[in-house]
Amino acid sequence: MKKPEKSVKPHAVQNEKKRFDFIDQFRGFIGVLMLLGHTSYYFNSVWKQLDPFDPLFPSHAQFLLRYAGYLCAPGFLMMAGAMVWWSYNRRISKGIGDWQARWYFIQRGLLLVIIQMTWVNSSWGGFQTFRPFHLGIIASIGISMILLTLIIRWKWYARLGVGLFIMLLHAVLLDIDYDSTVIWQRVVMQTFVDAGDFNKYPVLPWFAMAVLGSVMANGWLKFWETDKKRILYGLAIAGCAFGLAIFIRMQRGFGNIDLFSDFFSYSFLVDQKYPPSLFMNLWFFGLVVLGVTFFIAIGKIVPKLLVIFTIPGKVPMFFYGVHLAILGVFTRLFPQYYREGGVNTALIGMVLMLLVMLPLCRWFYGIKRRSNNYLIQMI
Amino acid sequence: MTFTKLSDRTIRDGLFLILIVFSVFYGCSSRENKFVEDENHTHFFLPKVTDDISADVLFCRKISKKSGKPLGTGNIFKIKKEASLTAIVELKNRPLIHNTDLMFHLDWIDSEGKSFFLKPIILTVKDTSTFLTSSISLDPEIRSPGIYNLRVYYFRELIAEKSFELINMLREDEDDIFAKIELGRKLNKSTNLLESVDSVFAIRRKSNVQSLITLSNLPVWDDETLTFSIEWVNPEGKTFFKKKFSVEPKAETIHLNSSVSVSPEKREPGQYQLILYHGRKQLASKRFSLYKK
Repeated sequence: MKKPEKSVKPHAVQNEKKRFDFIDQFRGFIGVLMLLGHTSYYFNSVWKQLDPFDPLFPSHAQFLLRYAGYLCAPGFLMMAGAMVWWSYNRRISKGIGDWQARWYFIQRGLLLVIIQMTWVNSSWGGFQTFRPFHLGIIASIGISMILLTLIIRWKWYARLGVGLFIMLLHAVLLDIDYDSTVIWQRVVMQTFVDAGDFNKYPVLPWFAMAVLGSVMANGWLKFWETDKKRILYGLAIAGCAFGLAIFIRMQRGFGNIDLFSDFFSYSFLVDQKYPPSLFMNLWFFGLVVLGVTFFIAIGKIVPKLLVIFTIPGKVPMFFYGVHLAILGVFTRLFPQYYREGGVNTALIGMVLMLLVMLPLCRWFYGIKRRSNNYLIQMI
Repeated sequence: MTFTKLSDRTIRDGLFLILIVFSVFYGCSSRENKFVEDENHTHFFLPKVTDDISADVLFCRKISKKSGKPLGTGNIFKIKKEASLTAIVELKNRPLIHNTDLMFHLDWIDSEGKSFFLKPIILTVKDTSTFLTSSISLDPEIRSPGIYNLRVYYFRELIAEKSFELINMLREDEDDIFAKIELGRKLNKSTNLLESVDSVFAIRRKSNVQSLITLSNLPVWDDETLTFSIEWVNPEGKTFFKKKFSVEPKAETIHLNSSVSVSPEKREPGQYQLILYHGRKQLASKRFSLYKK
């Protein structure tokens, strides 16, 4: 067996809190974007017409509102990958055994799958129905976490190779023809490759994102010791990702799924999301890296601007599970508000939900810090 | 690497520039924000580039198989069994864009604002069509009265929208063709009136029974030929004479006529019947009696 990477330098340990701030804040920002996407889903009448598999945009505001949510899945997966890598190496440096460190993430991954199948699936409809046999983003994060434990000790460039290879492989596997009415075919294909009623977030492309997140963690949390380096390398990597994504898109062939009209038009930016095309994966990898870079920069210039995102970013699973439940129950109790508003309603809904969620997150974070309860620690 | 030697100010300015570029250009809309209404009541969003595609929408009951023209055009349609509504989207400037595949979506929105049918259409480079079509059923089991919409999207962007109204029929048969059958001895061709109108006729040498059928409520919007047939049926139930008519519905009311001989060597006394068909559907019938004098 290879030795785990010697990842945690004394400098890093000293600056652990600072180093985590931009990760937490960016994850919190992603959470808030997701909240906005969900308030739109529940209150914005455009969802009476919007097919997430084939989205159409009646206005620029509706486009921006929908597109903001596109950052969430890649953001969460990359942050999850980064934190798995970081936590694994921190545990190893504390003297915890290799298997024990991996087992922690396997348990956590399994818990996420269970949370998806129970709480999350039910909360969408305000706990009116129990639909355990359905996967989603949380299950995809959980499974990716489990798979990541298999390669977490690999060197960053080996993981980078795996991540990119899986992205390419996924683009090829998308051509597999299967019968979605046959249960086993639907379950296998939609768990790993395609998107559909059973699962909109197949594991392969999102696992690749988590792997790339773990690769970026090497830079963000280990190699690049100053914020200046993090910003510059982050910009360079994001630029490369955008360049490659644009090159693939402009070829209009492999790696593309939907047609587009002009450079940077709606249709250029909105290739298939469920499941993502190679272009979308590379583009959003670039956007997440760029976003983290901006958060590092803003954290240096006006740190107070990002404070609001810190707490939800520290308890992302709690934030996700609770806000979804509140929205689901609220719209069940007050159906007159369900999909009757517009963009402004979605924005107002987000602000009101934040007023509810921020104190709740702060409260739960306090409990989490003090508690030794296994489940609370896992959430 | 040398770029790590850049000054903080340069980095900050660079980041600010990136932010500006992304904010301004991200997801450029190719259309104006406000719609314009044309004489056809289509709301369309003008392209920012004047020779880009725009669309005009026309609703009709059907497209003529004979001429290919839209028939029964309008914005108000009746909910009716077996009826349908077709939207024809005329693409302006289509010939100017010929080097790439084009993506369209036609989205039908019901009176509650819900999409009930989304038709994606890809026009390949080889396909030079300048029209898109999409049809929906107007069956009362799946449609209810209200204001509906058709939205036309071009590369995921709304370029045109037009509303139409679906209404219930006052009577279930209000769109049916009505037929009135009269029988007599003779038809006055100058007045188009029957003489000696009756339903009981004597069998006599060189004598006829004349029918006059008045068809009304014909679909004048339709340019397709309507086929009718008249069958004369004897007391045994057998058709002894049949006559076919092809009618172009240019007026709401038209007349058909047919006559049969009732001379003693051809007819027996008894109950006879005249039946009128539209295609295979029986529209009307009339019984009459013949007797020996």
